[in-house]
Amino acid sequence: MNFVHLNVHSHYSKGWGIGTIEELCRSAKEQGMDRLALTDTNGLYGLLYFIQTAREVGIQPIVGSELTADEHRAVLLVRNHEGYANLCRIISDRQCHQDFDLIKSLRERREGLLIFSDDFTLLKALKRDSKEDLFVEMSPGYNMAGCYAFSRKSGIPPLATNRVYLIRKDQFPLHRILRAVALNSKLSRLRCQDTCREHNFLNAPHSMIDQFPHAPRAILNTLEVAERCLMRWDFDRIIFPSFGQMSDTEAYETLYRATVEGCRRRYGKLTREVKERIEYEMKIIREKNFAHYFLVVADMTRRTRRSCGRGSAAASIVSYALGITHVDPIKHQLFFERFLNPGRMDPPDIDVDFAWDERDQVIDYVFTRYGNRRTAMVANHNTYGARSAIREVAKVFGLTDAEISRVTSKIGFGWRLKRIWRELADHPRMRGIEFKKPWDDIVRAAVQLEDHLNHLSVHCGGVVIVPDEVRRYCPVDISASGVQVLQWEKDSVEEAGLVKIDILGNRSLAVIRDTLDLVERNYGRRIDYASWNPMNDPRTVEIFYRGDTFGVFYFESPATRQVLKKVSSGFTLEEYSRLDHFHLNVVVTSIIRPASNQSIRTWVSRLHGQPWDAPHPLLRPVLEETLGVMVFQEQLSQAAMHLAGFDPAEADTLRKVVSKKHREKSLRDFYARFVQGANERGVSLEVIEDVWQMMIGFDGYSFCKPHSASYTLVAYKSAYLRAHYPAEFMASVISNGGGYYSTFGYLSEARRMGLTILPPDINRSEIKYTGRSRAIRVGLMQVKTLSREGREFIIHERSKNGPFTNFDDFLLRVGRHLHLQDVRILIKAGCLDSLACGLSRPSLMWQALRFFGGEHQKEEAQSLFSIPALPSPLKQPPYPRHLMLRHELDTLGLPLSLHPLERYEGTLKGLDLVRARDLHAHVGKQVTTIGWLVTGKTVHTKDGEPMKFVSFEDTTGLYETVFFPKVYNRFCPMLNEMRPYILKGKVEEDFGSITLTVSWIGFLDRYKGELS
Amino acid sequence: MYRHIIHLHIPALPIAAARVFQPELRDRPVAVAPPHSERALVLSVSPEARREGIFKGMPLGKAMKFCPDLTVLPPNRDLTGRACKVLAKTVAQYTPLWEPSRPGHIYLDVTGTDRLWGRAKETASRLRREIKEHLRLSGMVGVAGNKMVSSIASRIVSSEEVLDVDHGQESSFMAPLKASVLPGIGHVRRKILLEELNISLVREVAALDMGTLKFVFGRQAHVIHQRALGIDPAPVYPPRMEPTVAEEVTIPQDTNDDRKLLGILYGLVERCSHQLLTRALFPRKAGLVFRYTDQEEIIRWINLPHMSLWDFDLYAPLERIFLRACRRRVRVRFMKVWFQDFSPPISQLSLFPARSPITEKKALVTRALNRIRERYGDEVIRYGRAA
Repeated sequence: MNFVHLNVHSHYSKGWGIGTIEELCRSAKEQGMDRLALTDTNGLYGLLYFIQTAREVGIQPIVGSELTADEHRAVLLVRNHEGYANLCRIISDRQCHQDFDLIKSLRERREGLLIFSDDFTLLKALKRDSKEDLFVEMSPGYNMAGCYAFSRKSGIPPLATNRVYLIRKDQFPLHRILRAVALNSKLSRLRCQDTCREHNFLNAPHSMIDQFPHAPRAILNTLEVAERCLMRWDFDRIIFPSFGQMSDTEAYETLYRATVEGCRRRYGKLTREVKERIEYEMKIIREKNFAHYFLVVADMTRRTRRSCGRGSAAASIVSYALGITHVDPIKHQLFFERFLNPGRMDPPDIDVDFAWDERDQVIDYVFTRYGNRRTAMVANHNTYGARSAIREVAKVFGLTDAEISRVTSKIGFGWRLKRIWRELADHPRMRGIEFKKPWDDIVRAAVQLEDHLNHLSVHCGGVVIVPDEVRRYCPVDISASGVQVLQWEKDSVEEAGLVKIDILGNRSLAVIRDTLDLVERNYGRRIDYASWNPMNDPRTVEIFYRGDTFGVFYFESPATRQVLKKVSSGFTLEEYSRLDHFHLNVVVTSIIRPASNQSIRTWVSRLHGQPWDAPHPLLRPVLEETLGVMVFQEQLSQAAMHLAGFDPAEADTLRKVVSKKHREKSLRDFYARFVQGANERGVSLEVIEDVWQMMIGFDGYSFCKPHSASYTLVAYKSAYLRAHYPAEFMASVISNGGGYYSTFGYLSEARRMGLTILPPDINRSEIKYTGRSRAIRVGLMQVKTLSREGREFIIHERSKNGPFTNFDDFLLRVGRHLHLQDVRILIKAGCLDSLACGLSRPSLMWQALRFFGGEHQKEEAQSLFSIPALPSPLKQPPYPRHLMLRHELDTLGLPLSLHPLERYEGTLKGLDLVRARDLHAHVGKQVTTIGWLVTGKTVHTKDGEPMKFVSFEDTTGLYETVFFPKVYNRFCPMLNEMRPYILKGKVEEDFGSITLTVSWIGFLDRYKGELS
Repeated sequence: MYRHIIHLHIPALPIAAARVFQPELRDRPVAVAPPHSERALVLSVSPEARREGIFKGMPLGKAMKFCPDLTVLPPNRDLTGRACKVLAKTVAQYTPLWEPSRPGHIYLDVTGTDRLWGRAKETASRLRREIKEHLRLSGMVGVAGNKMVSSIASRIVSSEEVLDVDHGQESSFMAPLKASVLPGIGHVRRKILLEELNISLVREVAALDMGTLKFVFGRQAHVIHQRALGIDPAPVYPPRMEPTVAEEVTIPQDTNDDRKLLGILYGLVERCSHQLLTRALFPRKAGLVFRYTDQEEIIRWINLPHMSLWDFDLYAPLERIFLRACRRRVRVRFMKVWFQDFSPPISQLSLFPARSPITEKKALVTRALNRIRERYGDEVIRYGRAA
């Protein structure tokens, strides 16, 4: 006799299960089991991992789920494909409908499912329909005798289970901790029914058999049930969305026609090269049946005026022709095989950026067009990391936030408790922290909780559209925001063959949109986004040449601006313009990423003439465009293809393995294959090892070239607008929330660009910032505390009845819709100065107070047909200067009328200061500067020590500083954004880029004439 | 008869008291705040910290950013309470009519004590000196004909002096002061309003007509106007003493284990019950105070459903409020049980048996246990409870 565990929970039974899927499968295998079920509660979150792992370990997977609703529960196992679809539907109903009735649902959809339960009401109800595939669950410790009696009385066969939540018995204390975490409770307050029983672990079959001497049938039934379950799971198919109910042939023909038309529009005349590329891509698209997919994405991008297809899809001429992407793949030599190749088994991935404020509309459109029946968002499985695991467990043990933070704040980014927990207490970072009891228990429990499912969230833009019914393929949940979301994250979605479309938000597209609108409004000039190509515009090129890319998409960070300056140093503008600057900037977008940013200096040196050679002549064509440095993702695949003869699909998998997308694949297999392939091509072992190390080193986040090219094109468009319409551009940047810098930082930059910043005005300001000629008008959006309704009503009233003529007119027209609070804010922000007619702000305040104090209402009641006379204003002197500045800061959130450093000019007399614009003249010297912190980025050295790059500005310009670990360690608590600083350090230059290496920093507002 | 009111003010009493025991805190920026969160609000600020821009009510995280050298002390109610008691003992020597308005602030009505202590200003100087010498606390003292003016006087006087506002001079004393000193304008909204309306001095408030004042202060206008003129008829209320039976314990090892905490609670109830029995007091009200490790203090009380002084009757209501109040998972460090509002013992005997036989037996056991405790100490015998 044997036994099969048919009720087993992994950590995907959130807050209950302890074992990971891999641990469960391996433990089952070690105990000699050849079949194992996974029945997580109300979900199939780990289905794909389970099937994969079970295959790898060598056991047969049985798929199911435990459904709980109100007082009822049942475990459902999948018998066939119809059963799987029914299970997905039942789980979806359970997760989506508050009035879900388990019994009713099972009676309607039990086809293809095996059901067992200890819920007699449920069993009786189901038995009325049929006894087939129905079992009474008998589990030790759960009214087993009663269940057996019910089975004998009702004739429903018994089934033995152990309700496995643990792998080993000794995990019970951990289970209790997990339950306390899930219930937001403490160990001493857990009731018996809040936890599983101590014996609910993956017991050996013989032990299970020993517990059922009186009911051998229950044991035998586990074998029979397992035998009848579906065990051959095959996900080797791709489920594409279907476009407009077209057949595959119709879709292909439609796509072909659209591509040809699109290419005519893009290229004018179809050259042989273009035709060949179309044919090549369309051939693969037909073979793979991808036509629907392209049409669906193209349909989405047509919803908005501006989008940017990103990722590898930009390498496709079809995407280019359909307007999904805007970079010419032929002109920029983009590698199509990175996107699609005949050997690629996984679905292609087209990611499209939309303006950040239009993204939700696009997602809404997709849900409306294809319906909730066919559409769902992709989930994220958020697991416990080192910090969250320690934090949650420590809370159960009663530690305070301060005690917990003392430890978690020292845990570095990416630390893995499983690796370091033994040395945690002795780690240099933990110096000064006493790991007294109960910390040892906490750390031990946290190690085991690491990587367990914490909660589900919605992927930022991943949408799946299927041709028929999404709930057939995967159960869905309803997110907190009300969106239908799959229970799988993106890797499982991909593994299951569901095609994901990424709809992502991009602020710069909104910036470009708003700038173009302002340009059209101000000057009547309309620019067509799709056909607009500013690549050779001299003023645009100059922006990149000078690194003046503040506000320019993707190129505005201090690090990127520094790289731009290094690239252009030594070239005149004319020389730079003659270079393939677009290509150089495509390289910059990718080389700045973590995978290759260590190579920036090497690349810049080679760009400026340092000789270089590829590690092997076979690699020269691959690395030539990036001067021997690996910059783009596809260069890794191409290197494997050129040097070791990998086919495109194999090389693409290697790329994924190296970038840790497919962790389960072993690099060792690829290494052997790489060595063999390269050997056959006569490459020496030394070179093979060098190239392999170079490839393995390319393991961080990086871009593929088509993606970089797409982004660079958007950046050129941004730069064009910055160069030609600076006021409109900067106004739009600020209106859209900026990017890397604060509003204050952008306003300072605008001033450096020679633009005038006009204060908010009740008659001239829109809600957003506006720009015209050389002036930016602050929008009412900047008056932070003004109510949204108030802001909208002012604009509405103004557009309806014209500008306000004076303060009385303003009060009478908006007084009934605005609160006194709003009017006070407007007065303090200076918005009403233009209506004051010589009155001071305090006088306006008095008048507003009297108006809202009730005088006008009384008068209004007396004079129904005449405009009531407002009380004559009290003459008040204006606010003192310091109070006006404080009001400005309170209402606008930033100093607008003067730079905060100007307040300290008087106190700095006699100090030998170097201003930002003069730093280049002090290279190699120790200097003292003052600065207002604009932005900063903390990074870690190779030894894991933190250091920081910080951008400061003074009244003359912006400058970059670096705080190396020792200095950073000393001064990091002082680096607060809202204060002025005084700095000492050495000015350094690297390829024309100036940096201040800080040795000391102090608060300027505490400066009393002496520096430490 | 003119009144003579002294207002004694110990600035930042929790910090001043801590500095008595930790001299190393002197001359350093110090703040008191619950340490468990960066969002916790600063409760008390030393003058050095105030100079760094930190003020009472500021989030702790922000305060730390403003002043990285700031020493943050957790609230120590025991110490502050002790300091208040000692201060009270000192001022009670001068007059029976004294009112502790809040920690560190005491009003003394010394009207008619001239023959005993001399003039009010001399009394105030003596008091300030005594506190400085004996308690090592620096106090500021104001003397005036009413509570409000004496309080304002103590706020603006330097620490080494006593400010005496003569009778009839209240209005002229108040006139040049900032309007924000007026009680009732302390509220942030009012302050902002005055600032926005360009009213900065008390004399500007006093000069406003009642109609205008009503715009700003509504129904409070009349009172504010009186205050602006230095008029405050409020009497000095002597402190109310309420008899209390209480027991408390600081738990040797902080714990969040309910079983242990309930054990401690039962122990405290038993000790209180012993006192109640000894003094024949029947409480109507019971209360519980406990403090988490992060110093958050929870205070709960209930009216007892049945008047009883027996521990077995008192366990259940206190257990109930403990389980309802102790919601956080953080460990508990301190616990206190108290009983108040006693009714006199019932002298009328009942015709029928007052207690059931079981209750009678329980009472006998309690009495026996109390006898043992009296003889050998509180800790020698306790109830055990089966899980």
